[in-house]
Amino acid sequence: MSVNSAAFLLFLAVAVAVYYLVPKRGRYLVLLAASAFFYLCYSLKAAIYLLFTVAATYGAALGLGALRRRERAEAAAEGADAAAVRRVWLRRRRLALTAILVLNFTTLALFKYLDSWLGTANSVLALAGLSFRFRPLELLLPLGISFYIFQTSGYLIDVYRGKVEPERHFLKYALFAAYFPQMIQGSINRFQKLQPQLIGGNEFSADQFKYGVQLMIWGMLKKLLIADTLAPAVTEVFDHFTQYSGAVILLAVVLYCLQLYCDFSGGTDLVRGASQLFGVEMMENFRRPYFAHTVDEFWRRWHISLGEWMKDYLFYPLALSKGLNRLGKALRPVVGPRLGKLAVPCISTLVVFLMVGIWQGPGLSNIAYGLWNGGLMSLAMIAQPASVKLRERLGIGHETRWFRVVQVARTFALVVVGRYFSRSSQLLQALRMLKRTVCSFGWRSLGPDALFSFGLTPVNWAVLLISTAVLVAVSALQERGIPIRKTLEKKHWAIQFTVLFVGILVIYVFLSGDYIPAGYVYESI
Amino acid sequence: MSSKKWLVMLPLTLLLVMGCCAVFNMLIDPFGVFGDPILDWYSYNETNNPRVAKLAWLDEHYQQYDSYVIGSSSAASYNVEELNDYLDASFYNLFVYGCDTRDYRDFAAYVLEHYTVKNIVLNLGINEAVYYDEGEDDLNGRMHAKASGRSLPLFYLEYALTTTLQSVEKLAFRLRDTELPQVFDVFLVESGCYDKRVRDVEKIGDPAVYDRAYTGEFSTSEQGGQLPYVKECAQMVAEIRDLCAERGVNLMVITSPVYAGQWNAYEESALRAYKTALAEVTDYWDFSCTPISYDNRYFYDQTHFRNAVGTMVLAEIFGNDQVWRPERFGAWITAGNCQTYLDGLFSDPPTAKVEDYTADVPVLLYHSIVEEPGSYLEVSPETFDAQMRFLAENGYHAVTTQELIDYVYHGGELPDKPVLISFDDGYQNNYDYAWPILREHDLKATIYAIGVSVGHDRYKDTQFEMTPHFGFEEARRMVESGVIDVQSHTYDMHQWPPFESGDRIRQTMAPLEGEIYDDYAAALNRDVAAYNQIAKKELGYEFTSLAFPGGDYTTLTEVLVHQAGIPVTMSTRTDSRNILVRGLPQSLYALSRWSVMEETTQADLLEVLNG
Amino acid sequence: MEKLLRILEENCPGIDVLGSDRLIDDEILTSLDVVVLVGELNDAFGVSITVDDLVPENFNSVQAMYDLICRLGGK
Repeated sequence: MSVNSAAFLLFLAVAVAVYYLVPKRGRYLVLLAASAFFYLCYSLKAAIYLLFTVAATYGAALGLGALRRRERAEAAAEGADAAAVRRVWLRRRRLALTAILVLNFTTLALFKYLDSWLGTANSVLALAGLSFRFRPLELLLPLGISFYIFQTSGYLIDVYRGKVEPERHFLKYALFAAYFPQMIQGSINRFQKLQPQLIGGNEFSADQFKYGVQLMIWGMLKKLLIADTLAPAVTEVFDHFTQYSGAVILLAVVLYCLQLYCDFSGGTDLVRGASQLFGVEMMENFRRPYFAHTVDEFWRRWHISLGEWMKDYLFYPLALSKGLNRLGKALRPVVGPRLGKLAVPCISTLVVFLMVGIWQGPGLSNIAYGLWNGGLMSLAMIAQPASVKLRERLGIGHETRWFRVVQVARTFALVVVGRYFSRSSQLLQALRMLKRTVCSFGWRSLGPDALFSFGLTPVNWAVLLISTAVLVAVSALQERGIPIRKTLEKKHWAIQFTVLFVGILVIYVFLSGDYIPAGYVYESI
Repeated sequence: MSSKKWLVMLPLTLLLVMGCCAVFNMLIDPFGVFGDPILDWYSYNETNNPRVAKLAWLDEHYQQYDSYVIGSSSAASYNVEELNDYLDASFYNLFVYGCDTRDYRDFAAYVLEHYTVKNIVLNLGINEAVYYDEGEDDLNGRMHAKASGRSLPLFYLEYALTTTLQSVEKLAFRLRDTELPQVFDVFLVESGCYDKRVRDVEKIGDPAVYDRAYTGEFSTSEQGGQLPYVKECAQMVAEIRDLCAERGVNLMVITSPVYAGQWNAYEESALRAYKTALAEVTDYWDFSCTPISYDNRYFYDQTHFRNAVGTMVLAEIFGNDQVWRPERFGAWITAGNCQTYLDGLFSDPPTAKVEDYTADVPVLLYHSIVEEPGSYLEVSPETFDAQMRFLAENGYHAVTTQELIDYVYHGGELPDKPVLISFDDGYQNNYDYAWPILREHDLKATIYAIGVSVGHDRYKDTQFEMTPHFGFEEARRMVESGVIDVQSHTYDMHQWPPFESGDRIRQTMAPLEGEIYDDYAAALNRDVAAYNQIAKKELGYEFTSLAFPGGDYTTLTEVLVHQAGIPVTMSTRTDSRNILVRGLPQSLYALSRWSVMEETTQADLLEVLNG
Repeated sequence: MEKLLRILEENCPGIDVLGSDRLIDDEILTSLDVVVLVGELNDAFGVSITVDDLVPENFNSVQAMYDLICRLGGK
């Protein structure tokens, strides 16, 4: 069941209806049943694997909780040396946590990366002249595995840190781990925030319901009109980049930025909206990232829930770790006090973005993508005083409007360069495409024809331009702090109706029935 | 507006959207489900879904027909006019793409129930035993519910509520519609056949050229295939047989020609079982494996035999000896003779020798024979005489276009080492020099004369001088001698701008720039008629061969010329050999011609003649 | 407190730390700033701020940071 399908909408409608018909106490069971149904529609095997993860993390969390309880009991015992007790139990807890996290992430890696790594190993074997080859496992990647592995891992760490009490009720915990909207497209939610909403048995709220529907429509439009229109054209250019001039490649990468944003944020809107129908607010994932002034800010606006996860569970622990800080101190005499101070955050940032890169995929190009972003941010930190000085020398106030515009444009350009890496399957491909962009830009071949050379028709372009214009306008308003939906509901009913009509019409046209262009079925005869 | 009101508006808006889309779909009707009230464009609808749109057409026009061809797209190759002649009936070709014998049964039941029917021709290929009851899921392949017996309201609802993009596309294609078929309108509405006007002007002959043009269409790698739906196919045929018998309707079952690559892809046992199962149900004509199966030029692709082959099949069935067929082409199969027939088919497959049904005929091209040749179009009488002597002494036999026609169409024979000698334009010097020399060497030639120039030495409008052209008096004399055949180089589509009046000057037969179809077709047909009228009057025959002036023509030119009934055309290209293939009219299209000049040596000639 | 303000000024130039009590929530201080800051505070006050302490509530305002340091026994 694809999210963008009439079938999904029907499923959702039924689930919502049943949810509010059932007494509050049982509502979470409706969500659980819907999630199970949704996941079983996807694949039985994946569902079994999901169940395994749920059971394992459920048990692990209880175990971690038990360890904490016993530690408290022991510490509270008379004559106990609190610090010593803490030391002993900390080690035990850490061991337990490490074990379950290793299990969690190893399985994720198995599913996501093993085949690719085996492929690499095979080419190494070939280079070494050996005839032995690994056979790829061709495992089916369970839907949402990255999301639920990260979400449950975050939960386990929180239990370990004592921030949350482990969920004792298995079904309730299963719902937290497998809540179907997030299986589709994230975001990675926090137990403290999500769980009360999931099991609370929410009251029907017309406002929230309306916002949910609107968010879904908005997300679907982004996906259908922009992302789906662009996908084949972008694929065409990336797959056959040698046939295109540097200009077209650059255009395709820029379009890819648009496609990715609309696909990902559209999908997130869709599932967040769907979740709101049940009165469950999921974590926001995007805040108009292309309006960011710095790369650092971009990453606080792009895939927010992953960024937050990385910050709380990877960046802070790393940056505060004793080892790294010792290294930072040791470096100070060598690189000077300022750089020494920055060494720890820089190294941590690089590691975090290395992980973000790997999170996206197993290839060298993904690693390069992570390092590019981490590197840029480290560089920005190191160069900050210099750039402030330069700005002052040039007499540019950092609040002036055009300086802001330049900042946004620069940040976007840097993001675009990064996209060469994140979209390419091979590092070499990304580098060759970059080279073509720079060295064979093809000024002479520039012209209207270039726009239609990679699969986008004039009609496609018209659709894209109009939808993107609307998207940019809406985003700009939001950026100024104007709440679109709140503003809209104060307008005349005819305006509200027209907006709704157009939105539904577009979605209906795209979702009702498979569209087969004439002449597809009838080939040459 | 309060959120509650908005939530009331939501379902109402959804209903309104669905309603608007449904009305739009019903008005534009891309599948021909709702009577196509505005565009009335059956050819498009049939391309989108032949099952639905053809029945829609028939429901309105069934009085025009009394007989039906039922089958898949290979049945498209049966010409309904030939069937009409043979059976004194008026046929509609109710074939659909995608093989599905269940649909055949539903079609038969429907037409028998609702229309007056004399004959049903049921065509079966091999795929009829490979697929069964397919395509019901998508709107393009679904059978009309009134014939399939499925729910009619649901049927209409689904076509009304489907995405409006198909309707939008239909409107867009309407703007791009032309007279000739395009990928979105491939049907001839009246006959129900595919519109192969464009497809069937493709020159065919040189096997190397054909293989290159059809790379990948005739892949024959698979083997050991099974036929999973033999039982279902036979069952459906039996039901059609019974339906016809009930109403006293004549049913003719044909198993149509199959390309050898496809034939051999299946297990012998499977093929035997299929043929036997059919024979147990009904008697039928079998053409599946015949000598033409082994030559891909008789096929459009792996699974579709050419229209020309359809003509051969019908000629065999109805005993029309005007149409050439190879030996062992077709057999009448009954339950009694089936096993013997199959034994023969598999123990001794019906192959034919290529040289028995193809011939390489080079065509030489001359213009003027003059005492002092100045341009490359001119050859001196001495040289011409030497060249003709060379031909005669080396055993070449000059042939006429009529002999080529007889060879391809009617099974006539060609002499050894055939060559066709042609002259363009119709100059007086052809009469003065070439005719006597040809006669002397017992050779024949074809002169392509420009109708309007015959007997003139001045341009018709401006009276400028030009090379003198022979008159009809001379032409008659040459024709009556049996040495010269005069054919058309157009009546007046070979004009020369400086010497003509008017602003629409036709230097060649190709359409003028920006000329619309109707104007061009009218001009071309007028020209053909004008030439025929004068030729009939002066020479006693209409022309059967045309040389394109300047060697210039387009696909549309070819379509119109052959539609006007001219079987042989001459180009000036030299990039492929003229391989005549018996039964294939396309092997007489746009024949290559090699210009012979004063400087042409005997070695050059030999190279042209031998390829 | 003054020591804390001095450190803040040194490490977060151009930021009006006293003007807000939502320094983290409004992203006036980013995680990078926080990490640099924590390193400095650990050194300057002889405390050991751990990951568990890195929650917005502890860094949203100067007062909150001060309270944190006091709680951890910093001088």
